[in-house]
Amino acid sequence: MFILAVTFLGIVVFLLETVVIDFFAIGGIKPDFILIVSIYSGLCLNKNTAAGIGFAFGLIQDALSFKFMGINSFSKCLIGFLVGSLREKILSENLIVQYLFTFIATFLNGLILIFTLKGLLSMEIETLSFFWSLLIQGIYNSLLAPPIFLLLNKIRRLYYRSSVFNKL
Amino acid sequence: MLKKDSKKRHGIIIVSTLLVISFLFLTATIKLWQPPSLVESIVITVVSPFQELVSKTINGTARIWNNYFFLINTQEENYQLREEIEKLKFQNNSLIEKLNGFKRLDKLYDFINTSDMNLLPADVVGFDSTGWVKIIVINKGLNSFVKKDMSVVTYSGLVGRIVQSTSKYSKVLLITDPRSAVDSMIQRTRDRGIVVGNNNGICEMKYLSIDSDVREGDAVISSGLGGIFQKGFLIGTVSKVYEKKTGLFRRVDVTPSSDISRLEELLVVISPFDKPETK
Repeated sequence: MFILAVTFLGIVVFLLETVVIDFFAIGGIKPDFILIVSIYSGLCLNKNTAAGIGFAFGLIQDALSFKFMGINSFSKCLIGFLVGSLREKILSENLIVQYLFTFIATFLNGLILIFTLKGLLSMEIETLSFFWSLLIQGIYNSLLAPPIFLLLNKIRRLYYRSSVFNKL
Repeated sequence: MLKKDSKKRHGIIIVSTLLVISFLFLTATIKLWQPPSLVESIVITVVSPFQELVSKTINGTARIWNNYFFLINTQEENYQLREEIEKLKFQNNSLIEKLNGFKRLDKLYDFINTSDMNLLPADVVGFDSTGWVKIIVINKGLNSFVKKDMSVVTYSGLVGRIVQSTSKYSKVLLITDPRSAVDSMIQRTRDRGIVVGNNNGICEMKYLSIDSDVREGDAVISSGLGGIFQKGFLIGTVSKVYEKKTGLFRRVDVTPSSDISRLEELLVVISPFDKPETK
């Protein structure tokens, strides 16, 4: 049942990411829903499960892109695991913690991306422009994350009350 | 305590394995410049039909809604019109949408008819999910003779090239992606350079001779060199010329002639040796 629920969530998120994403773009900068879901997994589930979800979703994201195989699966897996590990030490229900986690995770994701693109794939990217976009994306993701977390929490409570998710 | 430690170690091993797998994928991606891996083919085959379905539904609904909304606004003065007329308006909107669709297709087919190339119409079904690269997915693949390195255009100019194809879907690397490079020339002066994407929705022309008399508004076309893009495709117009007194080359910004952010229907330039049914 848990796998079914995650698969359904995955389909919805990927359709959001690849079809509807342009409606959310501000000045060409788009939010990263996969990243937000990875953070949510870290905040609400076991850190290993969160890493697994981050890996699986990141891998699909890579496969839908071009020459990106491994980048997102690596970063999202790491982010899911780190957020899951930190969650055990910090109060994750706090709104400021959620903003902060999302913002830092966006930056970490961006750092892994630019390191791979510039360092390993030798792509020409203006670093300043990239970090400016990253800053805006960080703010955008941070603003979107709490309502998405709230929505996912409601869905989780509605359908999986004291069953699947809570055991993980 | 021992059990907890063992569980913790077990988790770290799983996560480390996942990270190593990702790194191996990444290494393989860097080392091998090859057709889609099995994972990519499976994901495209599974996800793209959903993308196509949702994309078509959303676009259709949005267009009908926008037209309806527009008509409501323009006829505010006649607010008291009867309900039946409103119904007719709604029907009219559906027809306008169909007409707009026909007009767009008409332009595409005009382009096909006046062109001596094999052009295959295709619809955009998805965008890149990362937001950092410029990729789109179209609903034509190997079954329609669409292969890697074929050019993709609209009636207003060059859009990109096919980088991966599965049986029914293909990925197009847009000219605005930093990994795209098109050997090109200024149409008026015939000076050559390389047009590369800069990820900000516009392109940059590099390696243009310092002596070039390039001006803002000049058309930039593909030069035909490089073996991928045929000669003469309009890429865009020069939007900014950077003054440079030293060095060997000058740099100019090129605004793509096609509206890259609003692509819906495209044409794939099929090789003369692979003839599709359309022409």
